[in-house]
Amino acid sequence: MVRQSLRPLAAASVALALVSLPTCVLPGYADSFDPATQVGPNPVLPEPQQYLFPPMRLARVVGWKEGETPTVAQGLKIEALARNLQHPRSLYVLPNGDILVVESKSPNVQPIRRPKDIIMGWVESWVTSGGETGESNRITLLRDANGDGKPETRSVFLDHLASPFGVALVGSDLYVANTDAIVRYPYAAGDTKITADGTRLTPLPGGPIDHHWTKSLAASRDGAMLYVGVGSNSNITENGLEAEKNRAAIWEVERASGRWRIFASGLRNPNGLTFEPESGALWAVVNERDELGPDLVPDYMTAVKDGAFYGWPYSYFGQHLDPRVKPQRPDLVEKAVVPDYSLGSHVAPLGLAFYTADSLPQKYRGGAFVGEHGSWDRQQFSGYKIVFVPFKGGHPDGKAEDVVTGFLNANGEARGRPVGVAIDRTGALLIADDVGNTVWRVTPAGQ
Amino acid sequence: MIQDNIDTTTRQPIYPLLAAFAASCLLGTLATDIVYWWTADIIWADFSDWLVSAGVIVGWVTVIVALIEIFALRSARFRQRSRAYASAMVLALIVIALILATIDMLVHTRDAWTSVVPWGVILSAAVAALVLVTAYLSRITDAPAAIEVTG
Repeated sequence: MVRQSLRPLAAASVALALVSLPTCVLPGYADSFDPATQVGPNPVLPEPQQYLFPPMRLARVVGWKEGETPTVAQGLKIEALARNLQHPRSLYVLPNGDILVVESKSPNVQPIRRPKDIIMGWVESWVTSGGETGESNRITLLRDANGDGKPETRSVFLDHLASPFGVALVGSDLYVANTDAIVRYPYAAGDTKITADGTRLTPLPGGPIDHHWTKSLAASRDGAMLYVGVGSNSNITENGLEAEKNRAAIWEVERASGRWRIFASGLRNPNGLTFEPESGALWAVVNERDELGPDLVPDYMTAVKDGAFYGWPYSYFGQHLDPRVKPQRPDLVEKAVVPDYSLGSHVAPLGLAFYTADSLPQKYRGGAFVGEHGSWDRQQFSGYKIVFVPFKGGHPDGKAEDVVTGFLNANGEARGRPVGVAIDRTGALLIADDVGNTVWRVTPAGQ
Repeated sequence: MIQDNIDTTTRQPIYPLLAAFAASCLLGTLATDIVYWWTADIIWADFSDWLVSAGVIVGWVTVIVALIEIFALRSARFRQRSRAYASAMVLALIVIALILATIDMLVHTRDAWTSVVPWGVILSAAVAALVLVTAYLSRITDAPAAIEVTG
């Protein structure tokens, strides 16, 4: 009897749930949007959407099997320069041709402020590590003096660092951007190991929350200034505005004194700081915000103008307001600069290198290689490749094209994920593959 | 007869205790949602997030425990038809409140302002209203919260 009287009400409840859930969830899953319309200077921006379950697809890390390599565009060849590294994230080529591989891991200091942090921590560990992990947070030096792609020596150059990312050499001063400070070390040409203690030049925003922890680094041509990328401390201010102090910005640090100022702001997670060879302008690749839909917000590359504000957190691509930010700042939104070149939503660009050498095919000269770490916040994967953006007169000129792909296998599992890119002394393109624990080297085919 | 009395006193149902915990969390969510709405200070959204999550999880556990205690253990009081209807109605209201609270919990997993305004606070208010109505009905019908589970 009890069960009979319960039945209609229970049925009504279930019906209510079935009706209400899909209407909130389904629109984003029926994704007919063409991601190609978001590559270039004027991306198509659909209306923002919010979800009960944001569309999500994670690439389980499986690693590279014997003999497997990424796929390269015609006219190119790829080989591993070094394997069995520990989460290599960025690369720096010293003047004598030695290659520094920055192996780095998240500081993992983010406190659990709310239940979602537990879930997201799990999601992140699922897609950024390939199981057992050894020593990281160090820099490995590779020396390939004859340029055959097979390093003769490999040594631990610097060890026990604090989640390092950027490296810059000015004269005999080698700067390492740890997540919490820029540290200077004495370097002499030919060194394969630095034993001296570092000197802290400038502290950078690290913990207690350290959401976007990679600090990209570049030195000005005259060596007087260092530029540091300092990512935001949240997706979209959910850790509070106070946690964002001096973040989502590129800092300009005076090398002699360590004094700094905000050079440009509103850049959610700027990486790959590099000077464009023709114009001399500072460029960066920037990771934009998540959870507004599979096709928002496109990540981008842009010339970074002194004093400019690029929108985060209040708006994106100029004056497109983010509904999740309160209080809003119309005064800032009004002057938000539209970035130069959209790379596509959730591709996660982390590496940028301009091609000034001449060994790769002619069409690559003067353009930019971008390392796209790959998406999690959409149903169809995006990124997981190296693209090439042609440049002319110091500005992007034309569609980005794929150069290195195949980081995902046919089952949508990650064999590797590209991060930092660099050009070695022979003009080959180097790629740091963090979950594949490999540095790849791209050379002209038939060489 | 003596044996029966011992059973009723030693085997009190535990689901009313769980229900009180879940109800407190879900009512608290409305309070912290409103403060976030007024202040935009993110710590109140974080409080809401914990409260609604705890309320939902403990709430569903309460329903499962209540069903076991009421039906599996076959309360003598359910043999009385009017009481059974009243209890069923209360239980149905609780299930509806929990479905809404579950949606509310998912809304609260969004980041910053829209995790609360407008849908979070609207759902929290609806859930709080249902919780209060349910509590009132439980009191006047003396069921299911006051049912003793007999062996």
